[in-house]
Amino acid sequence: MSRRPIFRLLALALLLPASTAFADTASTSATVRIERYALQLTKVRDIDFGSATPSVLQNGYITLSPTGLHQVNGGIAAYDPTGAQPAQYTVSGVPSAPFAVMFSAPTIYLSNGTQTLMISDFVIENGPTQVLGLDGTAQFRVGANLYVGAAQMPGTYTGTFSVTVAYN
Amino acid sequence: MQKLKFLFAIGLLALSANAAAQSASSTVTVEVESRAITLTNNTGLNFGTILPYGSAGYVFVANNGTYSTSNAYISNATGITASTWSVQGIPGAPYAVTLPTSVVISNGTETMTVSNFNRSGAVQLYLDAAGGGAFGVGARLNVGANQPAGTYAGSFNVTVSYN
Repeated sequence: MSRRPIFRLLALALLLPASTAFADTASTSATVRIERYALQLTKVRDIDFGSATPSVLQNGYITLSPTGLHQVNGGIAAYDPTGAQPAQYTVSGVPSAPFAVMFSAPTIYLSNGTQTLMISDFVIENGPTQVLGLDGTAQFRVGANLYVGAAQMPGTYTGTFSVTVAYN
Repeated sequence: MQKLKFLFAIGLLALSANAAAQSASSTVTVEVESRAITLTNNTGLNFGTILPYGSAGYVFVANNGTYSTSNAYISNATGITASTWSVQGIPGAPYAVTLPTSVVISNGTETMTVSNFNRSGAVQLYLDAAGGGAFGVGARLNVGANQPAGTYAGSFNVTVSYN
């Protein structure tokens, strides 16, 4: 009985050098640098619907497409497209990154101080989901419908709308 | 019984006398050494400089240092390298490499996961005639959606063993 502990110690001593000879482990680093390019939106120009003369009896609306085409619908007695243009924006950020274009509200109102006009149905050139170019920039235009009431009061109507872009 | 034993003893004496007369003795020796297998790291794994997208993506660095991305942009590829390793041991011996499944790297507050470790070479590796070996290890860096900026670092272990 007294020999057994000695025997075990010997066996252990023999195994230890053998196991270190059969394998070896080494460590190394894994590194990366993450940078962020904030997505930046710049307005190049405002949207402008030109000049319209409303019908006395019938409501109407002017459609201004994001590519600058305009169409008069319903009760618009006369329309002068001089100066009409879609809004235009530039975006910069991470090259090739997808991003979304959003409006703060689906409808806004323009005012001449006493009366209002509604703008709705915003349309984004190339759609609400886009991809930045290899140079990290993109451009898009925005059109909408301007709704003109029958016998709308003359004047210059102005208002603002907000466009937001975000990586997605 | 006594007679048999006697005769047997005589026979043995005669044989040994013959052998002593006709042969010289010689010694055969063999020395058995054990040579440890050793692993040395030469370069670490580096994924360069990355710009994350708004959705999760990854950067994959292959074991030969080539790289590809999905939903992430490499803004500076200069530092991208696979990790490289050297092995020393018994010439011609087969050996195995054990890689981690995944490791976490951190910039101190935020973390990223490195997975899909892969090494170069055949399924079964052998040390060369000089007892040397070499291999590369690549992996995939998983980039989170809008991953926060910073320098992320961590470490991982590689093990070699005779097999």
